Amino acid sequence: MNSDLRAVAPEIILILFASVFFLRRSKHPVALVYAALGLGALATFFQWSHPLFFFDSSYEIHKGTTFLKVMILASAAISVHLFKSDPEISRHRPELLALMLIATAGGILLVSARHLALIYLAFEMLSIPSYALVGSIPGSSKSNEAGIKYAIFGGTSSALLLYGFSILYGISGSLRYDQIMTASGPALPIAAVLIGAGAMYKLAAAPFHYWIPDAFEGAPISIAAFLSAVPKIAAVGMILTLSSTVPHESWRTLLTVLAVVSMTWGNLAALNQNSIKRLLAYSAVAHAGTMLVGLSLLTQDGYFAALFYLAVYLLMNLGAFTVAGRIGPDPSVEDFRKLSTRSPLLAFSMAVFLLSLTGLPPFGGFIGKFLIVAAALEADAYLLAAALIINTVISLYYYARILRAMYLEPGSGTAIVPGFLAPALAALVLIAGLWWEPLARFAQQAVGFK
Amino acid sequence: MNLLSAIIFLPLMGAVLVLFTPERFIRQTALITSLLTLVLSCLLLSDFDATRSGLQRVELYDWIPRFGIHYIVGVDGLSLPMILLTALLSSIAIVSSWKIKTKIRGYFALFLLLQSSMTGVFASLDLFLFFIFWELMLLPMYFLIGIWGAPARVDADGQTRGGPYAAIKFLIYTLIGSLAMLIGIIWLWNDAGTFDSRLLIGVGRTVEIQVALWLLFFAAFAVKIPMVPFHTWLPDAHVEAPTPISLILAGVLLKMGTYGILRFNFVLFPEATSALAMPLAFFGILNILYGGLCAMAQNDLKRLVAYSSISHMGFVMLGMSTLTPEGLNGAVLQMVSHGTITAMLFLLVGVIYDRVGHRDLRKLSGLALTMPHYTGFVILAFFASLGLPGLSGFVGELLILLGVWKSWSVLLVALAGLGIVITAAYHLWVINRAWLGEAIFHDLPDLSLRETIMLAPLAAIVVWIGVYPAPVLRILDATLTELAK
Repeated sequence: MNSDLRAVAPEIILILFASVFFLRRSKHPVALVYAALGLGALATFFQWSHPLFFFDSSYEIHKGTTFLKVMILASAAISVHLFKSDPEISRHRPELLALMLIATAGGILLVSARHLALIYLAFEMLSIPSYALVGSIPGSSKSNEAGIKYAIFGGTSSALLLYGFSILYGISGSLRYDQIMTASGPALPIAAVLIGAGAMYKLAAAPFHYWIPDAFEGAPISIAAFLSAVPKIAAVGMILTLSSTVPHESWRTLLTVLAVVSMTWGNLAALNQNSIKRLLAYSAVAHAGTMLVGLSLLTQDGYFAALFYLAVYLLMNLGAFTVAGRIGPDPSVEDFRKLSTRSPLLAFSMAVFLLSLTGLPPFGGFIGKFLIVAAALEADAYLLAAALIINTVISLYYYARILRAMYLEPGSGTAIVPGFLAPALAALVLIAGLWWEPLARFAQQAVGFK
Repeated sequence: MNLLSAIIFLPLMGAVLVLFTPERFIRQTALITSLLTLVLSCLLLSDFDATRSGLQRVELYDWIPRFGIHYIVGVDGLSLPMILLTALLSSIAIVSSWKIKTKIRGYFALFLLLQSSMTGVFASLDLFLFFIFWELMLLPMYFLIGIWGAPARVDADGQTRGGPYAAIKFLIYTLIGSLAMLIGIIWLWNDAGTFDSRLLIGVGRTVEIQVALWLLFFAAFAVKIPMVPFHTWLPDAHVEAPTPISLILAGVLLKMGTYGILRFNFVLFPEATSALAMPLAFFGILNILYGGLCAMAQNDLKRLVAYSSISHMGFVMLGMSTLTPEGLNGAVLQMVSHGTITAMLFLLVGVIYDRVGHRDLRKLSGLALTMPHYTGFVILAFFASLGLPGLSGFVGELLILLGVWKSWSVLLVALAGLGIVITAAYHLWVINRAWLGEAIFHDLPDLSLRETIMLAPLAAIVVWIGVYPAPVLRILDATLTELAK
């Protein structure tokens, strides 16, 4: 029992700290959150081990889950940093930090949960605070509307998930993954599709992405950044688990189709966006598709490439949000004009993020795409690789629009202080492009390479 | 001593240095870096053993060994002339950039980054490294064309023009080609587990697979050459870019296409190369004729020079397609000589644009009367470009035609000959229109000292290769004869 509790120590830490917020008003709420996330990360690091099961096999820890959990905690920390520098909400709304902590705990739990009831609990723990977070700007009808929309879509996907679970239970008579794994039957593909729909909603893959542009646009930028990262990582964890449970041809086809649809839909829809938040929302859809390419192969190489890509995506995507947050609460492409003179360092960092999101060397995004294409070709998925390549070209166009606004177009504006976070993330993206062996080794171990 | 790596990374260090140099010394810092690189490149030349055909000065370091990625560079008779050309033209382009006034810190930093990546492309033997340098080159080029090129505008015909438009067009075209090559590279890697091009030579692959890989690589190189019909980025990029960048584009970047074909397509997929030689020859002829006819129709002098590049690169493709020592020697010699001639032409166009503010041939006349020295260089460059015996353009074309005669038919020689006639026609017509006739400008200053310093070395090389090409051919010969087998 003792070791069981140690397994969920990160979740417990996060929840305890979150409760503090509801009990009394803290003078330094952000410091408290950093402490929670730091302690949580520390507790997670100790879980870097071979597969272990807890709570009667309903909670699993292995290197892969630890990898994902560390990324969730790091993304949450970056979002909190954005939150702190967001004047709109940070002063009066410390309870939002508590909600972020709970959602983070939900994400962590979702990665490790191997029991259907626990998965559902974690899923909702991640979702329900998110609805409130999106609708948190007081007096903003846009924000409130986005929150409602998000809640409706979220409710629907939860319902689909539950329905899938009920079918699984009907087939196998058990709620535990390890017992469901042996189940079979004609209804299994249907269950997989329904559960997949729930995971895709969190991953923001098309066509389950309708909530994301509105939610991003309505939410404060720090919350949008949070939503672009934490649920995605948790969803990747869910998909990895599902893939090992239902390795069926139909599951593979489903993931492949969704990968292509997401990449293409996200990129085409992003072409005409003028709001950076909406643009990044569609870009998040497209990148969900890119990760799905790796996941859909159902090979170790594919999982490894997807995890590597996920890590790099977090750096560059959160980096782009950080720069956007420096410019304003809801910047448009025009607001980036002349950033090259208003803040050269910030413009340079943004250029690194954009080029890396496109997938150009020598940045991390290129290595991620390179590994995914390599895995796809290895698995003889030539058309999938070609679809990824074509989408890369499409995405260049809208990322280059921002690049163009920053460097080539005339404009004016006040100088901006760059802050330390964006340049630091840009440096990491560059390191991930030039000396990526450490990250690759980490990701390889996470998927069980020796 | 790692001379080759020094040549690759010295400009990069210069770029970093430029970022921290006081504003008044930026130009000097860039120039000194570039000249030092040129000196090192000459050292490389003096130390080169031209009698050997294999790679020399190979440097190998682990980079990401877990994935079979190494840092491997080396030179042979094919890459050495290209590295020298890059170093020479970069120095001249920096002198030519002296007049750039806006944001010079960014300009020279990007320029030196560009020089580093260009040299890296010519020296890399590891395909992964090659691809990194190949793509790295796009970024500075995008900004150099976009920021320092012509301002964005909409022309009378409703067409969007200007630096930003040309820059994104260049970027998208090149990226599409490059990504096809990336698939090819990954394919080879999945097969062999290494990116080392020396270990990937295509024995044991079926001809069909070789052809598929050949085409994937070719996609990237065809855009760069540029081969008709993938050439439409070129007139825009060349015309909208500032003079020094046009010079680099035409002088060095286009050569990367043909260099890549010789270095990778020819070496890695020999059977596919023989199978696809005929189409290559066809597209070579198409480039020669189409580029020439388009050049003839231009009224903008810079656009005309841009199209003439397409035509001349057609000769390089035609020479390569013969697979004979003559043809290959001619092709590489043509690459060198076109690099120098076209650099001269763009500089000369820049001179007239600086003085009268436009390049419209309909509004130019009698320049010979007001600017005699300038006209001297113009005549030299134009006659070299149209292939007058005794100047460098002639030697390359002659060798290429010899090769075509040997391995293809007289018909192709005749078609290429028609191309030469067209080339002569538009060059002479331009001289007729703009330099002869009545003088409409009377007080144009002749060449300044700076302009003469840029043009003189190029002119000397053009004459030298034209009169006595043996030293250059000696560098090429061993490598290319080996390749022709």
